[in-house]
Amino acid sequence: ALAIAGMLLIQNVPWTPAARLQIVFSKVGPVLQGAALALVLFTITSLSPEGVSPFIYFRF
Amino acid sequence: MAESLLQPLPSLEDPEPAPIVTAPARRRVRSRDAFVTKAVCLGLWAVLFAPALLRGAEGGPVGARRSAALAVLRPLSSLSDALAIEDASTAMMSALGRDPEAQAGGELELPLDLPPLPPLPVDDEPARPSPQGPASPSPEGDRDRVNDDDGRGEPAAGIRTPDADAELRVAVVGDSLSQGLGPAIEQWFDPDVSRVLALGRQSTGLARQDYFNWQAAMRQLEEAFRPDLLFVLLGSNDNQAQVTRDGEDVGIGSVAWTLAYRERAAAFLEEATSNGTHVVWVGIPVVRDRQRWDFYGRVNEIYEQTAAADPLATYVDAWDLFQLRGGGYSAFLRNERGVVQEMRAGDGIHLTPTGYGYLAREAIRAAAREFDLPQRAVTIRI
Repeated sequence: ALAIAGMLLIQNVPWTPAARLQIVFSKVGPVLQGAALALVLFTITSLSPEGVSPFIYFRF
Repeated sequence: MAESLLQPLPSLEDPEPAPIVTAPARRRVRSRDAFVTKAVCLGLWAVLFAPALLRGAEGGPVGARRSAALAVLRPLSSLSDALAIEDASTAMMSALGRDPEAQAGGELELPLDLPPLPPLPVDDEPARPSPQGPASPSPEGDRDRVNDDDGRGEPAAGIRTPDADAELRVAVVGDSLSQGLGPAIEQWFDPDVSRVLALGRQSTGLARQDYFNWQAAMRQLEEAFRPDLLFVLLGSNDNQAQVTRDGEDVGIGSVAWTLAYRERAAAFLEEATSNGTHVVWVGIPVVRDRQRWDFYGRVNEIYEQTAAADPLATYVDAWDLFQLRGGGYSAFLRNERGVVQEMRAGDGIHLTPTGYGYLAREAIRAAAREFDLPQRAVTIRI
């Protein structure tokens, strides 16, 4: 539910706040930048599809 | 007319456009800062995601790749646990709709509209036959099985006659072969007096309980549905090493593998029959690839012997059923009426809908022969 809400929210964010976010992001230090990107990456990988990994069994 | 055609089209642009906010100008970043950013990003992500990566690696095929992945991920997962990051990542994954504790092969998914469980036998004993005889005799009378030397030595109660108020509960479990068998079984049961759950799961078996645990799934099914009759068809994926509860590998082809597999088959069946469920264990049908014949023949033998040891179970030899008269594989076979039909799918392993229908009829007839499945429950002549 949180993921769906987040996706809907992102669709409606105007460009100005996004640009401001970019400005803020560019001003923080590299460690904080890395931490923020790690959280984004974690969210993306957590939302990746689950299911049978094709290499585990013979797929039948 | 010509002048009107030459008039410029009205502009669709906003007469007073909003001011455009431009992104900040690119600025140079030192290579050291870029490296630090990437290292922190990947390092923190690895620690955050380590538990999930570890579970995924544990479910992989036994071999050098899995060993290498585990060697890297176990310390990372320990670090994540020690720093209490694992709790945070677990909470985040739960918020994102993931079950962090789920096994790699997923969980058994039961329908939400299951009928209420029937009452257990009055004497509070499970319906499983005791050494003295059946615990819950069927209204139609006991089967006439005598104590013979087949290892069972005790008769089993028959399957009850269903009606609209007390539907017969039927389930089909196993791997992708059972995913084809399930709808075929459902097709032949009368929906007015029976409820059939097709619960097969692709890429599962008994060899890798760390990936998908059919014994635990069977317990879940017994607690939620308690089927009267269960059809089992699995094993086609099990030609691989087993992983014990302690994480130890048991190599394929060893005596230990066979003993462990036999134990798993027996434990699975015991779980299934613990509340009086009758089990029809369908063996793996002959396949086109001859290299699989030896392994499939051996596990079929284990299934047959396991079923033979339990009075509530019986075995259907699908290998012979789908062989040519002289032996061997063919996609086209004669059904019970002697009509030649295309029974096998193009991969040489699975069946066509016609083939599944034939197998389902034979499995149902085995249930009728061994457990007195009443004619009222099905739409085919048994």
